[in-house]
Amino acid sequence: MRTSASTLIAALLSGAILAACGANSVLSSPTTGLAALSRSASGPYASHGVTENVLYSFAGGSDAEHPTNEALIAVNGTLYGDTEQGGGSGCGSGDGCGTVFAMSTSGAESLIYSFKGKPDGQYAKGGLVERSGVFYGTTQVGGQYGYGTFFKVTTAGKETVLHSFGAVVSGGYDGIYPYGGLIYVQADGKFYGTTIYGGTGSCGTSGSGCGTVFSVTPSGKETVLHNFTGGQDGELLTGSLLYSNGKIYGTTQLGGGGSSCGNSSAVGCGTLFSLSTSGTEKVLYSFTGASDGAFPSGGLIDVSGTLYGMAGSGGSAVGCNGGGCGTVFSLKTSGAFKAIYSFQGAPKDGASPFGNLTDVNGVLYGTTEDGGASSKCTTSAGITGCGAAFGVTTSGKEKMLHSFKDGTDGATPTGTLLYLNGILYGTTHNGGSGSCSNGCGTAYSLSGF
Amino acid sequence: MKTIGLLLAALVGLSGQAPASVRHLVYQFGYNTKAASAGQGTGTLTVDISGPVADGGVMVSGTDFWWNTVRPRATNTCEVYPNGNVKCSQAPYALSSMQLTLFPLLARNFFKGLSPGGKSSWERNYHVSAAIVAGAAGFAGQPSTWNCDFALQGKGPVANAAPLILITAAGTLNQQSGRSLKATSKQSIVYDPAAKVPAIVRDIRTHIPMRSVYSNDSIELKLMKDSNSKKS
Repeated sequence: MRTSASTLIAALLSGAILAACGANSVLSSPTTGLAALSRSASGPYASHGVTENVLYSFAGGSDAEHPTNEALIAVNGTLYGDTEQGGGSGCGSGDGCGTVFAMSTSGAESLIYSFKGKPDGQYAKGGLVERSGVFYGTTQVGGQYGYGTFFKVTTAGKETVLHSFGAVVSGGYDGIYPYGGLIYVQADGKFYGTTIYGGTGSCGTSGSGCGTVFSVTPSGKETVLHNFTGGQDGELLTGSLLYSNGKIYGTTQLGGGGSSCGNSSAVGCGTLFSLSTSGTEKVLYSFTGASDGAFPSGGLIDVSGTLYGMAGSGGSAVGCNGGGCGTVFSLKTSGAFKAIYSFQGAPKDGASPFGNLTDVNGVLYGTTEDGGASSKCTTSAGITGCGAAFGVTTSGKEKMLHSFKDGTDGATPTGTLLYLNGILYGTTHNGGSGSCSNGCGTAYSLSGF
Repeated sequence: MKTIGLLLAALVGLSGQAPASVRHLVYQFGYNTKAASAGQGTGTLTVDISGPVADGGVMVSGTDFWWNTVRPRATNTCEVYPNGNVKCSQAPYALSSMQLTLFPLLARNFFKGLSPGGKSSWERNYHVSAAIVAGAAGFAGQPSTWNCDFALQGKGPVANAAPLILITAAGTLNQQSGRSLKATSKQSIVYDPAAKVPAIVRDIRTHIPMRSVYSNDSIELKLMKDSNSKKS
């Protein structure tokens, strides 16, 4: 017996259907995780004389490729990170399931582990956190349910999946798709992170949730602290968390209410929120998509009690097809918000900032996925440039430090910079001399800034 | 005459099978709005399915007809393989946002992991080779291959609408060439196990990270007509 269209519509209408261990100059940043990072910034803030060096071009294939939302960490002078792909030919794409790698500051790279896909992890991103010589991280996909993993791996390459995300729970799911990486809170000995989807919210579909904040012990016992519900609350979490003075702070790319930013549906332009470690959440600020920005996709950092972050679009500049090229903003924990800089876009400035800022003696350094002087890259939305690295003072004076050129240079930096002994280290998603289409990505350094 | 007869015989012999029947589906769609019979962002997606062809796939042609938006009524024809792979090897080598949501779900084995009780979970990994165009500027570009990983969870029969089954799904789309773009998708699907096609699909697809409002697509599809239903 066939189901009539009217029955289908009826069915639809019925509704059936811590001191964060990032112990470095940015005390609560997850991006560095280790005490190896020196706070003794040596370089005065200046844009001239900046030198970019491609330390390593990821080769793809059995090597790593495409670091994504990466935040390198340093342990005893060696850099560690993860990549979304590479490490073999698994996971259906022929490009591998992702890797964990080590690299000297001069660019000698070695793979520590190559993911295998379900029930192992797949698509590692967000960087690593080191505890007692063991690295912890997340993969976006893979695990028992296909919705991501929390894993640990030793420097000898012994990997263990400690938690698989995405189990069905009452009213919805465990978190789905961890993306923003982890922080470690020394006060309770737990890791904290976010997931893009999952939880008990609906957000336009009858399942899969609006995103979560979770805690997880080093042995893998996970607890969802907050289920986002969309609307006035946030949804879609891709950034890392910040732990400061006993509270957790984070961003959501969407949500916050309002009719802006929804491509006709009212999903809001994103939020900044605080959360107690017991799970009480408060929206501190809702973006409007105007001069304040829209779509914060990275995390926040704490500089002398004020929080700083970036929004990927919006702002007071008219670049980027009139939608704005993104902003740098400050936030008091009381909720007082201020956009301190609006990106101008190509060719003189960056566009679409992504990741976390890195504080070096009061100057905030970061990267943008688009913008910069190169005309080689254009997104399908017409935003040009292969990305840029920049520095901005807390009073809003900005300088572009480097325009990525694609080719053997990197392109599309999608992560957070690491400051180590006077040098900034980062990765690009594309570019370099690897064999992938548009390159497999690079690791680079910036000096003389 | 003898030559023509031989030619016809040869053609029949080459195909080795009777002419493929065509199944005709009509979905009402809403692009960043609810599917409805009127309003901005609404229209119909007509789908013709023929085959199977020699390698086991079916040929699927989809045409979007936007009711209140001036858009060309281009037809995209792609082969949909049993596991969900979609390959658009005919000009314009493209898929609209609605077709990107629907075409993989028409694959013969896409819902094979669904248990009779409708509460099983399963996964699908498939490739879509096409230029993803339509309304989402964030997707447009040259043809490329996207690696798609979806995990699906059957939620059981829809109340008062058996045999329909509610399925939720979440997935990732990773571009394997071009700029290596990333997107995530979450879907709720009302599946008709008798007709073996989705009756209602809601899909929210988001580029990660978002760069503009065009990085977030909401698609709703409702089945309005199915040529196979005449046979019952």
